[in-house]
This record gives sequence, C-alpha cells and structure tokens, in this order.
Amino acid sequence: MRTVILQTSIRLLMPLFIIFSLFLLFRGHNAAGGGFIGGLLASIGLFTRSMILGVNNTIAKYKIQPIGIIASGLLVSAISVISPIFLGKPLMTGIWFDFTIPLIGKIGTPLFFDIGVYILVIGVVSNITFTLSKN
Amino acid sequence: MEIVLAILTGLLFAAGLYLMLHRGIVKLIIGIMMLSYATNLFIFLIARITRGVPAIINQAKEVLTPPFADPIPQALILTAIVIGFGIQAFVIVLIRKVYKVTGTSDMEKLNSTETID
Amino acid sequence: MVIILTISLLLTFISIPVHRLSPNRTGNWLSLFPLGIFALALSKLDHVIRQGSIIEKYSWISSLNLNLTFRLDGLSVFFVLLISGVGFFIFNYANGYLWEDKNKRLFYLYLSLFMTAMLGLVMSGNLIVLFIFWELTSLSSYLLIGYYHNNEESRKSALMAMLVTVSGGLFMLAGFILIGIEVGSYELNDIITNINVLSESKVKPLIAILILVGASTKSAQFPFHFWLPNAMAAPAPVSAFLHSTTMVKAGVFLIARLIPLFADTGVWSLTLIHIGTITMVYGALSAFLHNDMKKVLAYTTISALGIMTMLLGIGTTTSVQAAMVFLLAHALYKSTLFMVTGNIDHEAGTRDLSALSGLGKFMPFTFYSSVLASLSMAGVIPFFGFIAKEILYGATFSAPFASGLIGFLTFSTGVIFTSIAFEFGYKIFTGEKSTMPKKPHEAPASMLIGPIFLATLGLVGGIFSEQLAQPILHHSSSQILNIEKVLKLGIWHGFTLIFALSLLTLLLGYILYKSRKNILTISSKFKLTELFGPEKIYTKSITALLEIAKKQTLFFQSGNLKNYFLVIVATLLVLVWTQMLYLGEFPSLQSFEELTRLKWYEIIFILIMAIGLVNTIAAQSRITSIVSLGLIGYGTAATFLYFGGPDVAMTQFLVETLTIVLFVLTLNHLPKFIPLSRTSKPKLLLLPLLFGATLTILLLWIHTLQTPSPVKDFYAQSSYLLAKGRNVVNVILVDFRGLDTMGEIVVLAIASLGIFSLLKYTSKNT
Repeated sequence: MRTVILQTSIRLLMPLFIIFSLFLLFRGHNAAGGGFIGGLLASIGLFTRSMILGVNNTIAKYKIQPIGIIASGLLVSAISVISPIFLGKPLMTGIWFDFTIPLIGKIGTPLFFDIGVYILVIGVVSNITFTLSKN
Repeated sequence: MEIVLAILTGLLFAAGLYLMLHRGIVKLIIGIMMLSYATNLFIFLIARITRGVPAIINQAKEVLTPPFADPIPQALILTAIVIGFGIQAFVIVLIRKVYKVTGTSDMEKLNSTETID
Repeated sequence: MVIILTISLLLTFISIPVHRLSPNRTGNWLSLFPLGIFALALSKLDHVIRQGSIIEKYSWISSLNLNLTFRLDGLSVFFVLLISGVGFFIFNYANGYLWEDKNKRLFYLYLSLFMTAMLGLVMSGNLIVLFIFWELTSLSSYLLIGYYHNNEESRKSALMAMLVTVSGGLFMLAGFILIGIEVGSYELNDIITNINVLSESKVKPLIAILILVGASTKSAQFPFHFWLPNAMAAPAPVSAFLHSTTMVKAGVFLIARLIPLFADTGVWSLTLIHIGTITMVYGALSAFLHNDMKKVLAYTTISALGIMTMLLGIGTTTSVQAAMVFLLAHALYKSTLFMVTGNIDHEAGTRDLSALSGLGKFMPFTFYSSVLASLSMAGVIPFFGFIAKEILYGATFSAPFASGLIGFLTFSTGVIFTSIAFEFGYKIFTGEKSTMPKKPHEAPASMLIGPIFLATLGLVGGIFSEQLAQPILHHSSSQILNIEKVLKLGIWHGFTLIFALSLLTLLLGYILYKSRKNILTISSKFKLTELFGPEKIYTKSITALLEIAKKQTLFFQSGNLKNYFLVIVATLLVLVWTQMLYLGEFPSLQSFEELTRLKWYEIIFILIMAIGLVNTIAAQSRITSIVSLGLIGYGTAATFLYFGGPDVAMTQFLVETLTIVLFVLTLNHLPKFIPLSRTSKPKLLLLPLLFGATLTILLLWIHTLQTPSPVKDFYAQSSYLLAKGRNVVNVILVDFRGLDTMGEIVVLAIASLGIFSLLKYTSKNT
C-alpha cells in the first residue's frame, strides 16, 4: 500500500477531505449533510491516510488523541445544550446570532451542537480504526 | 415497489435471524448487521415512501409542502446507523478478544462459564 | 434550617480530603462540625422558645407541589442538639477507636452521611422530605453496620437491618401518600391546620397502622426488634451513636411528630401501648439473659424504646413529658455505656460480662464514667435517670386505663435495668482481675472525653435539672402536644408512693443482680434466648427468596444465546399475530393499487441486494460473505437515496465503507466459519422464515392503514420558521430532538471507550 503515488496523492487529498467534510457539516442545516456525515467523511480520510502513511505518522501529523477528541466533542455539544440556561431559557433552546458568516451562514447553538457531533464522530471512528490497525 | 421492498425486508430479517442462530461467532455478527439493515428499512418503509422528494425546504418557501419524504424515520435511522456502527465495532472487538482468550468461537461452548454462587 | 444541613453536608464532602491531610486526627478535626451545629442550634434555641418555630421553605418539584420544607421547633431543636452533641463526642471517640484501621476514611464518610440524614429527618417539615431522609438513615446505617465488610456476619447483619427498616419505611411512605391524598398536601403545617379533614377520613386507622409499622421497624419494636441486636456487629462508635441515641429514636420521633394528628384515633394509642409494653418487657428479659455486653445494651435499648413508645401511646401530658425526659436520660447513659463497652472490648479484648472483673484498677476513667452512667440507669438520686424514673413511674401509674398492669410492668423493667446497671457499674470493675485476651489498660484520651463528659452530664443534669434540661424538654413536649403544658423537673418531691417505689426498685434490683448467676444457669438449660421467632421468619424468607431468585435466573438466563433469540422472536411473533388477528383486517390486493410502481433502475439495485443476500448466506469464506453484505448495505443506501433520504443515504454509504474496512482489518484475528451439520439446517430455517414472513405481512398491513401524522406536519411547518433550518432531518437531529442525539453521541463515546479498553488492557490469562 505504500507506493509513492499513493503516498503523495493522499497527502494532497487529505486537505480536500477535511475541507469537503467541513463543507458538509456547515451546509447540513439547510441541505443534505450535517455533523454525522461530515464526521464520517473526515474520519474516512484520516483512516485512509493512516493506512497509507501509517497510524503513528497520522497521529503525529494531526496530533490526534482519539479519547481527547471524543471528550471535546461531547463537551462542545453539552455546552451548546446547557448554555441557553444562562440566558434564562429552557435547556436546548436554539439561540441564533443575528449576523451571518460568509460560507458558513448563520451561527447558533444548534450549529455548535452539530460541530460537537462532528468532532465526536471523528474521535469515535478514528479511535476504533486506529486501535484496530495498531493491533 | 412497496411490495417488493417489503418482501426484501422480510427476507433480510429471516436471513439475519438464520445467521444469528448459527454456532459460529462471525456469522452472529453478520446476522446482527443484516438484522440492522432490515430494521432500518422497516422503519423507513412504515412511514410510506415518496419517490425523490427529500424533506428539504425550498429556498423560495418557508414551509415544507407535500409531497415530501417523512423526515422522522430518517432522523431515527441516521443515528441508528452511526450507533449501529459503534456497536458493531464493539462486538467485533469483543469477539476477537473472546476468541483470543478462550480459543473457541463456538457459541455452544461459550455458555459454560456462567455460574451462580 | 438549611444552614445546619449545609454544614453537615459539607462535612460529608470534606471528610475524605481531611483524612488525607491529617490521617491520624481526622475524627478530632471533623468533630468541630457537629460542635458548630450544636452551637448554632443552641443560638437558635432562644428564638425557638420565645418566638416559635423557624420554618424555611424552598420550592423543589413545583409540578408535584413538593417543597423542601425545614422546620426548627421545640421538638426538632431538641433532637438536633442531641444528634450534634453526641455526634461531637462520637467523632472524637472514633478517632481513638479506629486508630489503626486502614479504611477509616470511609467510616467518617458514612458517619457524616448518617448525621446529615438524621439532621434532615428531624428538621423535615414535609412528609416526603422526611421519608427521603428516613431511608437515607437506613442506607447509611447499612454502610456503617457492614463497615467490617470482610466479616460475613456483619454483612448479613447490615443487610438485615436495612431490609427491615427500609421495608418498614415503605409502609410508612404508603401511609404518607394516603395522608397526601386525603389532605391534598404533604406539608406538615398544612396537615396539622387541616386536622379535621384527616379526622373525618375513613382510612385514618389504616394510615395510623402503616405509619406505625414504619416507626416500629426503625425503633426496633417487637416483632421487628431483631435487627438491632444483630446490628451490634458495627464498630462501637456506631452502636453508641446510631443504635442507642439517634437512629433508633427516629421512630419515636416520628410518633411524637404525628401525635397531634392521631391522638384521637383509638387504634393508634392502643397499638402503641401494646407493642410498647411488649417490647419493654421482652427487651428487659432478653437483656437479662445475655452475657455479651453489647447484646445486653442492645436489648436494654430495645426495652427503653418500648418504654418511650408506650409513653407516647398513653398520650397524657405527663406521659408525653415523661417520654421526652426519659429519652434524654437514656441517650446520656446509654451512649456512655456503649462507649465504655467499646473501651473494654478494645483494651481488654472481650466483652463477655461473665469473664470480666477487676478492670477498675487498669481503666480508672472508664470505670468512673461507667459508674456514673450505671447510677443514672438505675435511677439513683440525684442523677438525671432518677428524675426520669420518677416521672416515668408517675406517668404509668396514672395512665387512663390498665394503669396498675402497665405500672407494674414498668416497675419490673426498672428492677431489671437496675440489676444490669450493677453489672456495668460494679461487677466488671471490682474484685480480682480475671483472665482476659489482652492486657487491659486505659483507653486513649479521645475515647474518654465522650464517656466522661456524658456521664458527668447525667449527674450535673440531675442536680441542675431545672436550669439545664427543663426549658428544652418543656418545649419539645409542648410541641408534641401542640399546646403549652408546664413541665417541672426537680429531684425532691417529698416522700411519695413513687419515691418509695424508686427505692424499692434499687433494692429489688440489687437482689436480682445477686441471683443473676443462678438464673442464668437455669435459663441456659432451656436455651431461652434462642426461642423467639421473628428473626427465624426473616431468615427463612430471605433464604427462600434467594432460592427463588436462583431458580428464576437459571430459567431465564440459560446462558445459551440461541435460546434468548428464540424467546425474543417467539414473543414478537405471538404479540404481532394476536394483534393482527384481533383487529382482523387483512390487506386485500386492491388496497395496493395506489402504491408506487416499480421503475427499471430500481429493479437493478433490488437485484443487487438480493444477490448480496443469497451470497452472504451461502458463502463459505468470510471475505465473500462480508463483501456480499456490503452489497446489501449499498443497496439499502440506494433505497434511501431514491426515496427522499439523501442524509440517510450518505450516512449509510459512509458507514458501509467503514464497516467493510473494519472487517478486513480484523479478519485475520477472527475465527473461521463453523460448518453446520446437514440435519440442523432445515430446523434452523423454520423460525427465521416465519419471522421474515410475519414482518413482511406486518409492513404491508401497515401500508393499508390510514394514519395521520401530526408530528410530521409540525416539523414540516416549523422547521424553518422556528428552528431556522431548511433540512428538516438535520433540524430534527440537532434541534427538535437534540437531547436524543445528545444521548446517542454519549452511547457512541461509551462504545468507543469500551473498544479502547478492551484492546488496551490485555488480561493476564491471554
């Protein structure tokens, strides 16, 4: 699997994988996509890279600690669930900011929730695949 | 179309259960996976299928107007697929471990470890 | 009085950190908390006496109309002072008693948890809150009795104590709920103000009985008493705190609390007098027949609790006052005697009354406190016990009915108490030194402060009863009676009949003490102590329960995976078919006419799926069946895509890819297929085919039904307007049903952690 062509192409493709997965994540609220799908795509990218360039190489390059990623994903989601309470609203109320960011669109707690899902899925899948391929 | 899909779903259920009743542990996993396809399809089908109209609101409108595919089973299935993946991975790893520790993959031989004191 | 509870709760939380900072002085440091609570309660005492009770109310579950109500009134302030005051000495005592114990940090944790629960119990102003704290005391008592968890006996005793008290608590809860239904509120205040509602209720006697079951289990009343002697498996500080002074008095407290509600119910006072009297006599007799010091104390405690129950049942002003006075006297001398017993057990290595004598020379301070406590127990002038006995005799002999019998039985109990007091205060400390397992020496200071102080308080409290004990006891008994009644304490009431009886008690007690040895030899021939039944019923029912549980578990959990599948599927089939046959509307072919027609490209992926299906089953190698499985997966994804589910389709597609990769990765480590024998194949096919057919029919049947879906319409209407998202599926996931998704990602995280730990930590026998 470690031919030069593959190695070079995955290095070039990797940013595309990540960008496309982020694109899927952010468009998710208004079109097909979302945190689950984006996360799965990104982790497939990571996994392909680790198959070709080695797990340790990938971990070193992206500084991945799967358990840490899972935890931070959960944290981001949990914060977006809880934060409405501090504004005196019930748990999980969607709060949207007025401004929009180009390419991403409106910003609000559901988006952060989806981002948390995205991060968590990356963590879970890469945890599974990394531990399995290491063994 | 519904009839064909319903029959296919039934066959998937049957095949999944058939594989799960085998003694081998790998067939068990395959059976579970097949059962989960069948279940997802089942949930998808009970809501009645609509061809080619996703539950996405048109840019020009503010509400979804019929006909459209029912979004509720889709939301259910979506998470079920991802969780199913996590559970499958867990089962595979567990079975690997069991196989490594006990040296057998025969379900009939694995049940003798249960004791009650 | 949330501040008191907060302090106590804080104590629970910091007990372990404090132990880390100062492992040898934990108990001493922690004892400052109960001391603080004591001071706080004392500072509120004046306010309570002059201006009435302090009530604090916090909304808890407003939809159920439940409040966290706490009240500090005459009764609860008395108990708070008792709990925190004795608690202070117990923490210090435990410091010495558990000096060499390795697990003691847990002990302090449990002990402070118990104290919090107990304080919460006595201060509750709401029946439900009271119940919660009530069960919490049972729970923490379980942990404390089972503290020596390596010892099977103490585990069993802990379980027994918990099962008995907790199940009693459930009866009580039933009673509380009935009160709630009748009155419409669980607030103690509301219930007492609306006392008429309850008085007119037909279920009032039932409520009374239910609550009394709870109180009797907790306060070890006959026939639920048997857990208390067994609870003596606990370390001495626990016995001195929970099983003499505080927890066992929770039942008495509850009865006292509810007297205004039930005093006019015949069944209430009759039951109380009966069980109280039986318990009193039974406890005293059993105490007399035992030789283990802790058992003797346990049975005298049972007897004393019987006295209090009986007095509260009599329900006259004097008897209620007597109950409170006796409760205080008993708390002072009994906790001392328990600590004395702990000292002797700790330093001499035995607590067998018949094997001990001549300890006085070696343990002078223990001797001192034991003598004082025993004198108070016997009711000698001018000890507080004397005052308690005077008022006790006065109350029983003036009871409204059967006063002669009740009075006589109380008097006899007093005689037995006196004879036991001689054992504790005289016999074991004087005379020649007997042989003991350890070389006896005096206990460390921290184990002496408590007994000395409390025993001395029994003397000082007797002499200055008017100044020290009268105000608080006056208030607590007035609180119980719900009207102001004067309580006058004093030593000297002149040469009355009661005084003569007091003297007679001492005399007869001494004679009984002298002849105890002979009586014991006779009684041991008849094995009197093993005669009684309630404990046997408990043991038998527990064994039977375990037996049933074992059989049931073996029946349902056969350990054979195939059986589980068969049971699950068979249940499903039976349920589905009964329902379908019951409704009886089977789909006719006409009803399918409006369904969507097949298109040519759809035939292709359905064919692909069918091929995958056949291949997966038929495949002989693992890789073939896994790739075929992939075909089904991609086919499913295509189905989702064609019928308006792009999100699901994408997810299915990506997951499918990952699954195949996952399988390939682990394939080398996975076992090979086990071929089936030819004979078992057809048999195995039957149930799956039935299963598949049923689900197909069910699916088609569902399609013929017309069911509106308001949820679907709601999401379609409000996805953009309310949640600002056009992709309805995604909006459901992250917004409308976001909490579900939260739960799901937690499951994912846990599964992933499971995989991580399964692979990370290889077990030793691999």
